[in-house]
Amino acid sequence: MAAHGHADSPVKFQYEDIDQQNDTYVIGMWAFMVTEIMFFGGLFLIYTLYRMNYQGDWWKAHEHLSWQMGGINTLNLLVSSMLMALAVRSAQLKERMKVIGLLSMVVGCGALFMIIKYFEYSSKIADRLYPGPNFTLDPTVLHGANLDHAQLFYGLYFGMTGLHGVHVVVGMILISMLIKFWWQRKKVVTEDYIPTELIGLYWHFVDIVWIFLYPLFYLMPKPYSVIGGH
Amino acid sequence: MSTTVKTPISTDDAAHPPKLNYLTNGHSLRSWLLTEDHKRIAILYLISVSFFFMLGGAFAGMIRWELTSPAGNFLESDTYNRVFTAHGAIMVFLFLLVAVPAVLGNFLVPLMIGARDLAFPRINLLSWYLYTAAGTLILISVVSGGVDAGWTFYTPYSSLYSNSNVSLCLVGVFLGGFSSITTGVNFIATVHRMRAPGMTWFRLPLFVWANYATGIIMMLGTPVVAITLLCVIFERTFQLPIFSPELGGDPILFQHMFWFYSHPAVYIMVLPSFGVISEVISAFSRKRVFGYHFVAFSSLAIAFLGFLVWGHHMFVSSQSMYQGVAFSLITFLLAVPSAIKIFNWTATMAKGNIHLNSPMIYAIGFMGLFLIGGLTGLFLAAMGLDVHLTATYFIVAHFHYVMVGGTVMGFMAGLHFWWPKMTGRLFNDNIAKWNAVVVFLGFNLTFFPQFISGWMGMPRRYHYYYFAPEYQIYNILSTMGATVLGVGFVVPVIYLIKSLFTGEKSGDNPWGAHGLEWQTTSPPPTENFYYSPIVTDDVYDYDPVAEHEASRELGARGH
Amino acid sequence: MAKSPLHAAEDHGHHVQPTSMYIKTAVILAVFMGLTILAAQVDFGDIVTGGRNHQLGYYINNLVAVGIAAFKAFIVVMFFMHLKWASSTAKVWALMGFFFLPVLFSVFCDYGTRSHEVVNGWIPGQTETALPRVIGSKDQEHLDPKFANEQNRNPKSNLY
Repeated sequence: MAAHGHADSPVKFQYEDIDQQNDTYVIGMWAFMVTEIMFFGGLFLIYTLYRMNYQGDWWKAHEHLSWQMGGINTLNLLVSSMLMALAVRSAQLKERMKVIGLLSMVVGCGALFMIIKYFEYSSKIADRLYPGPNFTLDPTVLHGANLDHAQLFYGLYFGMTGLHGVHVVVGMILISMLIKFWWQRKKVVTEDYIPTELIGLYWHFVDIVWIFLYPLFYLMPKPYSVIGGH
Repeated sequence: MSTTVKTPISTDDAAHPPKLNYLTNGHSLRSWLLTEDHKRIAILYLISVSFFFMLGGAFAGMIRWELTSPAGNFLESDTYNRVFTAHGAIMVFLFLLVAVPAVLGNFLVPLMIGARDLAFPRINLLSWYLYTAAGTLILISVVSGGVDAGWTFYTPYSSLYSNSNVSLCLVGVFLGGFSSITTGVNFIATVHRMRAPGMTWFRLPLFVWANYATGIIMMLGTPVVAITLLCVIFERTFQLPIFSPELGGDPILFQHMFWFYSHPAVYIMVLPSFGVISEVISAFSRKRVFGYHFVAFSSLAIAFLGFLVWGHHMFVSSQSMYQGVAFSLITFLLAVPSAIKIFNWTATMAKGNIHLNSPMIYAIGFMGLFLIGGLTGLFLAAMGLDVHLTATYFIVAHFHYVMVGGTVMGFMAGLHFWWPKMTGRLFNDNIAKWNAVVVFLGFNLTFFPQFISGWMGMPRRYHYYYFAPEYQIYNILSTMGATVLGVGFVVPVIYLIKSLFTGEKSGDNPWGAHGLEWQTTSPPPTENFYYSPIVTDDVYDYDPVAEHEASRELGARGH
Repeated sequence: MAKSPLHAAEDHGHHVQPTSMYIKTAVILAVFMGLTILAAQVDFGDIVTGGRNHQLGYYINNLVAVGIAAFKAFIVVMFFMHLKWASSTAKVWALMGFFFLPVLFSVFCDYGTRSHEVVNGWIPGQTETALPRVIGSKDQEHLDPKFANEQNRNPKSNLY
C-alpha cells in the first residue's frame, strides 16, 4: 500500500491510505452531485408549475420540437455514458490505450450532441422562436398556442437545455484534459483510477439530466383540454 | 491532559526552539495565495471577511445617519435604496454566511477531529478565490452605481424594471454561492471520513456537529438560490422570460425559490455560532456541555426543519393562507431545537466554575440577545401578528438581534477564544472584556428602540418618515447606539492586531480548555499534529485536577 | 508483474465489473427510452378510465414518463456510477439528493390551495377564490358582473 506523505505517491498527505482517499473523493463527488440535483431541480420546479397551468398552450408550442432529433441525442448520451463507464473500467485495469480510445469516443458523442443541438437551436431561432421582442406572431409556427405562454415555454426550453449544454461542454473539456493526462502518462491518472471515475460521475450526471429533459420537453402527452377540444 | 497525543515541543520551552508553524512555514506571497493549508486559508478568509464587515458597517452608518431626521435630507430615495441594498448584500452574502464557518470552521474542524487537513485542500482554496471574486463583483456593482432592488432582489422589479447593476451583483452572489457549496462539500467529506482513530461521532466537539449541519444546509439550499438568481440574470440579460407577469409568469415563484434557500441560509449563519458558544461556555464553566446528544441532534434538527419554513417570509405575498398556516406551525416547531440549546447552555453554566474572560462575556451576551431575537421571531411566526409587523422595523430589529446579537457575537467569542491558538499570542483580556460589554450595550441601544418604532408602524426601507415624526426619538437612540456599536467593533481590530506584535506568547492551552486543538502547539504546525492523535477520552472531559491547574495558570497570568 | 491487472485492481478493494454488465445496462436504458416514447403516444385517459376522465389520464401519463425517467436514472446511478459498490455514506448522500428534491416541490401546496381560499369578491355580497383579477383590462369588458365568480380572472394567466 502506498504510504502517505511521500511526494510522488497518489495518496495525499492528509490521508492514511489510498482507500480512505478514494472513499472520501467519492463521497465528496456525490455531495457535489447533490448540489447539482438541487440546481437543476429549481428549473424543474418552474417548469412543472407553468406546465401544470398552461398545459394546452405548452403542448401546442412543443410541437415545433423534433422528438426524433431529441431521441437521437438521448441515444447518443446513453451510448456515451456506456463508453465512459467502460473507460473507467479500463482505467481501473490501467489499459492506457483503451482508456484514451474510449474517452475520445465520449468526446465525439458530446460533440455530436452539441452539433444536433446547434441544428435544433438554429431552426428555432430562424423561426423566431427565441423569446423577446422578435418573438414570432405566426400561429402556424406556434401551432395555435397562446403567444405569451409559448414565450414562457421557449424561455424555459432555451434556459434548461442551454444550461444542460453548458454542462456538456464543461464535461467535454474535463474529458479532454483527462485524455491529455493519459496520453502524457501523468501519474495522477495512471497510478489511480479515481480521477477518471470522478469525471465519469460528472458525465453520467449530465446524462441523467437529459434523461429527464427529453420526455419533459419532447414527449409531452396531449393534455385533456386539447383532446376535449376546448 | 486527556488524549494520547504527545506534543514534543511546546512554545514555552526555550531549550528547544520551536519548529516551523503554519505561519512561519513559507513567507512569500505565493506561499499564501497558493496555499493548501486550511489554517492559512482561514486567515485569508479572516482578512477578506473583516474588510467586508467594515464596508457593510459603513453603509449601515449611512442608513442610521439618514434616519436621524424625519425628512431624510442626507440621501435621496434612489441613493438610499442603493445604500440599504449594499448593506444587506454585503453583510449577508459576504460576511454572515462566511465568517464563522469559513474562518473558524476552516481553521478548527480538522484540528478538532485530529486530521492533518480538510478532505479537499485545493477545493478549499478555490472556495476562497470564489469568495474573493464574489466580493469583487459585488463591490464593483456597488461602486459603479449601486443596486436598488434590495438584497432580496424581488421580481419583477429586479428582473424587468430596475435600471441598476443587478446582473453584475447577482453574478457575484452566484459565485459566492459556489464558494459556500464547496466549503459545505469539504466539511461533509472531512467529518465523515477523516476523524482520528477513537474520535467517534459522539466524541466530536459540538462545534464540529454545528459545522457538519451547516455543511448540509449549504449543499442542499444554496443551489436553489443559485438557479433562481441565474434565472433573473437570464431574464435581464438574455430576455428569457421566467418570472415575467405580463407573459403569465409568476413573480411569487421567485420569492418561493429565493426564500427556500434564504431561510436555511440564516441557519448557515447562526448554527456555527451555536457551535462556538457550546465550546466557549463549556470551557469557561469548566463543565461538560449538559445534554450533549440533545445539542448535537438539535443542530441536525434545525438544519432539516429549517428547509420547511420559508413561507414565513411570505405571509403577505399572496401565498395561500392554508400554506401560511402550515408554515406558521412549523416555524413554531423550529423554535424548539434552538430553545433546547439555550436550556442546555444554561444548565452547563449552573454549578460550573465560571471564568468571565472576554469570550465568555460574548457568549453570555449571545445567549441573552439570541433569546430576544428568537422570541421575537415567534411573534412574527404568528400569521396574524406578522400582517401588522411585516415590512416594519420590528422585523429589522428581530433579524439584527439574531444576526448581530447571534452570529456576530458568536464570531467575536470564537475569534477571541481561538485567537491564541491561531496566532500564538495573547491579547489584552481586560480591554477585551470591557469591549464586549460596550458591544452588548451599544447593540441593545441600537436595536431595541427599533422594536418599539416597528411596533408603532415605522416602515422599513423608507428613507423618510416625515408623516410620523414620533419615530424620530427611537431613530436617534438607535443611531447613538450604532455609534457605540461601531466603536465596539473597531477597538478589537486595534488590540488584536497589536497583540500580534507585542502580545505575550500564549502557550499551547492558555484557557485550560479540553479539545484536540489545544493539544497541539499555538500556532499549530502545518500538518496540525506532530503525532497522529488517538482519542481515548470523552468529549469535554473536564476533571477537577486539570481544572484546578488551569485556574492556577489563568490566575498567574492575571486574568 | 505476476498478477493480471484485473487481480491487481481487485486487490485495491474495488471490484472491476465485466464489460458485459455495462453493455446490458445500456441496452436496458435504450429499451426504456423506447418505452417512454411509446407511452407518450398512448392516451391513458382512454385506457384507464374508458374515455371518461382525460384529466386523470394526463396525470397518469406524466407519472409514467417521470417514473420511467426515474428508473433510468436509478439504473445509471447504480451501475454506471458504481453506487451499488460504494460505501453506505456515499449511498446516503446520493439518495439524499433525490429525496430532497420533493421538499422543494412542496411549493405546490401554495398554488394548489389558492383556489380553495374564499375571500370577499369585488362585487359586494359575492365571494371569490383568492385569485386576483386584473382591473380595467379590455379583455374583461365583455364580462358580465353577474358572473363575477367564474370569469373575473386574468385570461392571460391561470396562476393569478
